Amino acid sequence: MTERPRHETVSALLGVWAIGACSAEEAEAVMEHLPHCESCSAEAARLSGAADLLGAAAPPPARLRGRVLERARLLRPAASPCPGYAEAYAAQVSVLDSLLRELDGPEWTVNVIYDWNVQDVVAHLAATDGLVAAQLDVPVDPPLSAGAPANGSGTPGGGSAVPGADVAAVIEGRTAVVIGHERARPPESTRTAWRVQADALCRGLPADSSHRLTGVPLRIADAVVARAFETWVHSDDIATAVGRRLPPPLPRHLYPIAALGVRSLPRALGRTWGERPSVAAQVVLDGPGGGQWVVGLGARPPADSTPVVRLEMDVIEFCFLAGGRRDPATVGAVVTGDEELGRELLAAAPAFAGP
Amino acid sequence: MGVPDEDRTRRRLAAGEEEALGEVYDTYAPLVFGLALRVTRSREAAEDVTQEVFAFLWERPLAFDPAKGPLRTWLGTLAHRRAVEVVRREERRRVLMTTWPLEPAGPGVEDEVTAAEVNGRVRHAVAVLPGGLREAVELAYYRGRTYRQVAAELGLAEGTAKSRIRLALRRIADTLAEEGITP
Repeated sequence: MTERPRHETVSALLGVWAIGACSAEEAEAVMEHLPHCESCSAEAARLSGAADLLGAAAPPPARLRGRVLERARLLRPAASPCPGYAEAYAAQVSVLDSLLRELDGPEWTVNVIYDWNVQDVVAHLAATDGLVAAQLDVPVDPPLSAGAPANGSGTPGGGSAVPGADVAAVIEGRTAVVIGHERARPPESTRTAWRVQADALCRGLPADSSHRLTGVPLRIADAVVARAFETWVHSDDIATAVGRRLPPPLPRHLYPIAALGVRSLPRALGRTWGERPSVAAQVVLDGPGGGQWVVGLGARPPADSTPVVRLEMDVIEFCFLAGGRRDPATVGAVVTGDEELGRELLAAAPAFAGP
Repeated sequence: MGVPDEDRTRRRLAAGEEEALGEVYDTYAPLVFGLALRVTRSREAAEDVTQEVFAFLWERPLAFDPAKGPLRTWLGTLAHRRAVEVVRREERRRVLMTTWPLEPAGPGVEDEVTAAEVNGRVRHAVAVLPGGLREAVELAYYRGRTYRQVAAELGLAEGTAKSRIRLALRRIADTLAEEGITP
């Protein structure tokens, strides 16, 4: 428009301008005119007010929901589809991913445990995940060196695997390789590589939870729950190191982790059990995701299934104990019955906790 | 949703449960969209803001801390901030912003009750408009038509469409003002 818009023209446009139903040129004309005209300004304010109220009463269009979910999916993948036994793992991977997305550049270099910074811890998780993945023919990067006896019990709480020096050495060796590989890359690449591999692992899992991994007598379900456990414990390590609060797993994800920790107790204690006769112990874990278990201690099933000792504690505290993150001597637990045996159980709980 | 529920919602979002995002959307999309629409006055911009707000919650669920305040306030504040950014980006809004600065107010608990009440009265004010006026404003506002499209669809002269929309808004403003409701 070359000349100043006439009052009458603008005045007639105020209604459609207020609800955004005019052309851009007309809107320009209105706004050019408003500062010079008191009566139009007052009318525009009034009509805009009505439009505001209309806006507040307008529901979002139905198609927007799908658009929002689609956009969200592009920005962060949902938990990977997986068999039911692996849901805790897929969820904890997602939680760690959420945590890592909160970190700024300098936070990635904060020391977490040992001499590992955040990036190293993620590389370690990728290394141990990769040992399980490789056994399911899921490609891992960098490729595993030929002949490595992959185990993937992936402690802490690595459970029912025979904890041998070989396994620890394999995890340690693979961790060194992956940390070396990842340190040469930006942290964001490490996060992405770890997540992509974890999702590939989820998709590569067999439907049958009793599928046994080659080389070691370990059910895939136990190996994967152990991965969930370690992912959670290390996520908590990272959160603590950078001064953030990590929410605990949802109850339905916590339960299989706690159950694996409880089922590992007999084997953990087995190292020092010796020739003592078998007995039953009751473990009560309080809080959402907890439960009650009776476990037999000793080489054979106990002759009397009445527990000689009862151990009760918070389920999350138990998991952190089993993960080597609590001191058995000071952790909050109520032991009734054979107190000495109860203390022995608490002391044995972290037996499988590793790096 | 109380705080324990919102803590659970946050954990579900962090755990990558897309259903949790769907539930949050269903609960809060009207609030977020309505706020964005009030600020931007554009359905298209309000849709973009709504999308950004929920996508941000999904991308960074741990950025929301239920200990610091309810999800509604968090989403509302984010929606308002994003909407104001959009408005500021739009050069053609500058005059509007200086003539009537928008009050940057996050929604509170009381606001939601009031908002529901206001929404009902606004719908009523629209419903009691004479048919010709209602038709025109509904097409233009709720279905995003320009006044020229409204004129074509209703078989009116463009000038008539313009004046009907203007008259409709005046009536709505008057009806609501009588009930003590002003934006």
